[in-house]
Amino acid sequence: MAQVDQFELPDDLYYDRKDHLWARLEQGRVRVGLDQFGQKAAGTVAYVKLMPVGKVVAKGRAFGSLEAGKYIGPLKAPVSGKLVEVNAAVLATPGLVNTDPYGEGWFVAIEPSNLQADLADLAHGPDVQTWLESEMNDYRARGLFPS
Amino acid sequence: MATIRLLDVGLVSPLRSQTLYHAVAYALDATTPDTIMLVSSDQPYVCVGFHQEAEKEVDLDYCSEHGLPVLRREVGGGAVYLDSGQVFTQWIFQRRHLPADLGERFRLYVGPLVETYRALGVNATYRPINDIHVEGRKIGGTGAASIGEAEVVVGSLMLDFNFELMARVLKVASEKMRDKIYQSLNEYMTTLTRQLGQPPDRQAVQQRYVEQCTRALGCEIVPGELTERELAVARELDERFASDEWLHQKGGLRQQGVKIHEDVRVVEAAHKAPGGLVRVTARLRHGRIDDLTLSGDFTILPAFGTGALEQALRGMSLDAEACTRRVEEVYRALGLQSPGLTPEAIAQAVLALASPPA
Repeated sequence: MAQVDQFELPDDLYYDRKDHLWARLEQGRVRVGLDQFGQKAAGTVAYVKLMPVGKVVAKGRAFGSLEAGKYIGPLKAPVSGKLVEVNAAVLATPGLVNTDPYGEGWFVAIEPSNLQADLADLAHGPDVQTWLESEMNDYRARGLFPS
Repeated sequence: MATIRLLDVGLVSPLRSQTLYHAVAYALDATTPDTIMLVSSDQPYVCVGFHQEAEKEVDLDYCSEHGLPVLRREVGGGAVYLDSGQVFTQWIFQRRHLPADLGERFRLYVGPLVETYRALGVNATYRPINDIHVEGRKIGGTGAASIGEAEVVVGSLMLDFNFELMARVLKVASEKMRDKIYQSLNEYMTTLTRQLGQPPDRQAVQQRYVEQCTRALGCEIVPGELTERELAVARELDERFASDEWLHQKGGLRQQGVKIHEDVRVVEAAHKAPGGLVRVTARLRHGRIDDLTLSGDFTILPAFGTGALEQALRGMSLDAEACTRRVEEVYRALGLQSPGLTPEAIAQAVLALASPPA
């Protein structure tokens, strides 16, 4: 588990370094959610919109969007592939993104089409701690994150 | 941070007042300067939040009959009536040039708006997370979004605002609700025109705002122009934003009632009892009943009983036990009778104000 202050990022997951989405590899598919840094920065999630099962998304393109109290942002796929499952629970109860970001708060499962290449630029394993520290230090150095 | 580009595009069409800043965001690449855009619409229109369902939030028939365009933005929040009385102050920044934490981001963004009002003699204060208040009244709202590779924060300098049309364009369940929204907007919102007693000079307000942004961001703000690429993206967005497909998206975020400002919300609920339908229209302030109207096809005798109940419920929080007890007290004290309608049923109608929308 990578950890900086209150942020915990399980290092068995893969992380998009820009958008803070996580990817979990599961027998032929990739489950996707928002990491703790991302959900804390966004605030309490009020609404989640997801594309339907069967939709094909490219890495870096939106598979949905979320609205927190005062913020809207796209949810960008960390890997390319076809949506094979959409989390009905998070659509009904968007707050799961905040309360259980690595569990019940996941968004979609993707059947990947180019997995090995897509994983290459995601943070994983020991890199997660290094990346998280660097992310926090960078924001703090510029006074862009509360201490 | 290098210099910031200022795009003062003046008065443009309703469509362009939305598509231009989206275009700057979508066209943003690593070489694009952080940009502050100042823009007003030259015609009135209605703008809905990205996740709202326009049919459920806006009286589209009224808008159509009165030639009011309805547009969807890619920023959140609720439906709003807009016209030339607001200068939109849109920040389109590189992601890493704004605080990651939204609370901090809004604090940075709201600061120059507050200081502009104060420089004009209006006692504005920051009301976290993203409101600006003048002695308890809101003066403009703000919102944030990630659009393309850009981080966008939007808000406005509220020169003037048409409270009546704001209340009129919303789709509401009853005219009582509309009246209460209008009263609440009047009571809990303000504008520069109202505060100063006369319309302010648009250019003077904008100039002060740019000065305050320079101070808050600690960098030079330089007038610039939209690039050819940004204009090309704007033309593409003009088409998308004007399409029925874009406006009439289904699903959507339903919010409880109409938010007037961070602490004030107008809500309505109904409860069917054997003695008739009880409709409750209320304004909640800090979660307590600030004002309340009971209506419907029920009968309470003597006739002043309805007004007495409305008075007695003011100041109450939406607590089941306390509300029921208060209604029962009024029934006992005044000897009220209501065929087919128990005090508990009235309390249930009031408590339904706390329920999320269907």
